Amino acid sequence: MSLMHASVVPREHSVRDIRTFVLAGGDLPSPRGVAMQLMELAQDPDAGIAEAVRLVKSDPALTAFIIRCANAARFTGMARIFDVQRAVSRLGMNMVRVYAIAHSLMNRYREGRCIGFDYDRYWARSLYAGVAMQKVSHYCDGFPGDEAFVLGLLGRIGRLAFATGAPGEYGELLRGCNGTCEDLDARERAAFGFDQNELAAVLLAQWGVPTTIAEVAYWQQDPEAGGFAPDSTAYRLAGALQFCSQLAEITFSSGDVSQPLACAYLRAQILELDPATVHRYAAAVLEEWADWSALTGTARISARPLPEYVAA
Amino acid sequence: MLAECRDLVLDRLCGAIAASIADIEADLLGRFDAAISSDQVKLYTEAQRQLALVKSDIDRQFRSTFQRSFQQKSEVPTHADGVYGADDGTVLELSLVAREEVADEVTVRNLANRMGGACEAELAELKPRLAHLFGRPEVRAENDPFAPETVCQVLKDVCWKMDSPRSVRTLLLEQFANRLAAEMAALYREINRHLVSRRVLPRVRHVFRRNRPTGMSGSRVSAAGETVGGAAAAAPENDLLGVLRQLLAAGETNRGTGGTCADGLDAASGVSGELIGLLDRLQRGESGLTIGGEPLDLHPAAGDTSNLLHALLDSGLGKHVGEFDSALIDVVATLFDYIFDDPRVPALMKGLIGRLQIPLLKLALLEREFFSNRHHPARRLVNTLAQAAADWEGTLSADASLYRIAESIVERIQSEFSDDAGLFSACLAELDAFLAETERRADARTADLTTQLENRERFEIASAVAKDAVAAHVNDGGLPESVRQFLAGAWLQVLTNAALTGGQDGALWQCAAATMQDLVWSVAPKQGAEERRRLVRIIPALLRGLREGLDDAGIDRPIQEEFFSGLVKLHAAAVKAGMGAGVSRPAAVAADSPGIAAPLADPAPAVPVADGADECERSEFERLKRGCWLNVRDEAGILRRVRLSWISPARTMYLFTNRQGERAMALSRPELARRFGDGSAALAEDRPLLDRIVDDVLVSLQEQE
Repeated sequence: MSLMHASVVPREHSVRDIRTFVLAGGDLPSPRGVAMQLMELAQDPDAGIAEAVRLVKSDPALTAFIIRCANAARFTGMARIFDVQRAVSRLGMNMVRVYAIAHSLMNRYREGRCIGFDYDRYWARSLYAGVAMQKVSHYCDGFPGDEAFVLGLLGRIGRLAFATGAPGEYGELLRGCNGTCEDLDARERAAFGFDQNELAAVLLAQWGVPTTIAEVAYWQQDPEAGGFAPDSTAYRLAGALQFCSQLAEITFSSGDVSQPLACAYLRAQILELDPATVHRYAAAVLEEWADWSALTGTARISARPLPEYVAA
Repeated sequence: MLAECRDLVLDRLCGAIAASIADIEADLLGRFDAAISSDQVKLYTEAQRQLALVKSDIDRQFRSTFQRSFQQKSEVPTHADGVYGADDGTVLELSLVAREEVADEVTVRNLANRMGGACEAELAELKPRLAHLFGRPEVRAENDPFAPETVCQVLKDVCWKMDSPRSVRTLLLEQFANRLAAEMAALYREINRHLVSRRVLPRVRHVFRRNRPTGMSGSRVSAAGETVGGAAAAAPENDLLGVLRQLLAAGETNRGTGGTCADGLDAASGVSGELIGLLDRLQRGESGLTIGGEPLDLHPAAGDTSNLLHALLDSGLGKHVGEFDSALIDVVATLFDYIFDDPRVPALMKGLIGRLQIPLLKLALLEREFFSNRHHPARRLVNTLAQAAADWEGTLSADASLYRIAESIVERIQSEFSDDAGLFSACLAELDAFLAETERRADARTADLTTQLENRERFEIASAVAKDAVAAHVNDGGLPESVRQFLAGAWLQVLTNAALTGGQDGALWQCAAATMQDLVWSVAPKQGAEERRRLVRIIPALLRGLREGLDDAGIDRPIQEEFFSGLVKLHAAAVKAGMGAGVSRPAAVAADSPGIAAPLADPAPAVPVADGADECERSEFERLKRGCWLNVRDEAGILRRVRLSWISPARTMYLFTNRQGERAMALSRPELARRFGDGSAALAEDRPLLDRIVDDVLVSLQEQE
């Protein structure tokens, strides 16, 4: 994983025009239907819970998913719910939106044609990053947890977009990297004219996600280069996103994780998370991730606990 | 070799003379000041004058005179040239010499005696060596080129060349001789060392004198039972029996009794069985002893080191054992006298050896080889006991291992020895084995000590090298204090260990030094993405290197954890310290999310827009920023006024909204650039409508005028 981006250079002669790529790839990942409507609803300050319930009920699969979520492990001990209205109330409007986005994307893009792109691992990592972002969001000046979840979940959507929009070419690129390439971003820029970070930012902005959030997705690679004020929420969010992404990398990697580990602890320190808290969070995130995997029906891949900062 | 010794003596003596002149001058001046008679004033005045005259030449005079003397004494082994013909000083043969000359010789002899008295032991060692070098049986004072007598005589000859009264010459002679006397012992020791180093009789030892009268007057016996001097000195193997034979034969001849006793010396069978029986009982500690029917009036002196054998002779034993046995007992008694008198042997060991008096006497009576064979196990046993005790470091106590083994050996001999010398062999073997083991342990301890000293020296060198390596960083005020303390403490140990292990070229040192450099770099503010990327890249190896080094140096884990905990904070601070470096980005127009603040800067630098765009268009395009209003012709050819609401971070996409904030259009950078190029997109006029109308009217009026 490449931590930082050396420089940002406008590309007049991109191998591909990003807008053309986005428009041509009609099957690019995107929250569709009810999920999209719920996202738009979130922008309307006058929208009420009744409207959200109505939208959820319009999609039977989403309805079942929302009710499962409301009866998930973290609500153990509470009365079981079989009613959408109560499920939405229990989860909250914003979380319903998050669930809808996750449901929409994960159902539709669980597999694909890009050889070399591990869809199961991608969703496992994204889900983990979403859960982790939600956990650490209060270290980002109280940024809303559900928004943080979306940011974590979709922070690397550009990579899925490459795999979906140009499966053959991206598959070739991944094969060249042998799965562990550290300069994948650079190779993406060389091949497409833009990298997954830029593509994610553009996609998120296209979907109506606030552009400052979209920029955070971009600058997660190198938060210090984003021009953020040191005490700004955006800077902390970008750092948190990198932190969560590194945790996900460590958790689902079977190889050497010393560099992601160093990066994760460095980011945690900047967020003022001490190593003990990081461990506690990582354990909790792993547990919640398992719940999410069960709820979304994503493949369970092997995960490992977070190693110590300095090897004993 | 003699010439070497001569030169050595000359150099030392001339040096001493030169060094003494100032002292003599001061002494003479003092005497002059204290003079109470005119004769004394004259004497000291003249002595000072003479000394002033000769002092610049005295070195040459002494050298030439000494060399002449050396030549004479080296070549002519004759009796002394002096007035005394005999060497023992007991027979005075007056020659026809002037009265003054006799007085002069007396003066020289007195000075020589005084000089020799201070270095008797050194001279005793030197004389055999000189005799060996000269190829003479012995060297006497009169033909010894280095003897005190010779030195004083040379001094006298030098002084007697002075043109001054005899009293002045004598005074100066005494002054020089007295000062040289203090140097002679050291000089003779130096010559002895020199000769030993040249392998000239290296084993010659000083033999202390024994003044105690014994039945063997004229002979001297060393503590080891070896006779020196007198008739025995010349006897091969130092055969004491031979000496006894000669002495007894001479005595019998003098008495006219023939050779009866001397003849009996060669036969052990001549030893009285009654005497052996008596000694057996004595060895067992019995009392009420008799011999020849008469009670033995035995009254040994109290104490472990009393000579029981002398007491035996004094008790009347001599009357019953004959002259030879009596002489033999006296010899053995004398051996023990020497042992008891030897100051080098600790008293406790003397006590133990003293308990061997009766067994050794029995052995000497039964086995003539005891005297003729210097390697006899009994002699070697006593020698070894005495030598081991003399060499014992510190005070020999009853708890000492040497004492315990010696005591067991002595007790065994006391209880078991009858007539078999093999017992002494067995005991000697036991003692030798003990001493060998002791020596082996001592060697091991010495080796350990040597190793420790070497290790300490190596450690000090390694520590200095390590301190040198960290010095620059420790003194760098720009480094965080915790890192400086770490380098000066724990990491100094790591570097020291590394230097000890393989030196500065070793892998450990290279690794430790590189880790230190990485550590120092890692906590410095990081400027730009590449430095931040490098930091993350090196952190794992850095932490691993630190951990391994600290573990190897034995630094406690809690101390390590505290440092690592602080280090990650320093790294975080280093990363944050470089924020915004090299980035210039205009302030955003507005945050479009209520939850977060907008970024401060746009990282994208200005670069050429597109081929075909003129400079004006290019400049206009590059100035685009969020919030700008543009007039853009859409796909339908309708000119629309839109607001640039967002530029993607890499400036590949531009999003536009209408006045209501609704999404109006999205253009990639190439698309927008192309539109700027063909005029289908341009920055919208900023002036308000009314201002524009007023301005237009004014321009129109001006044109009309």
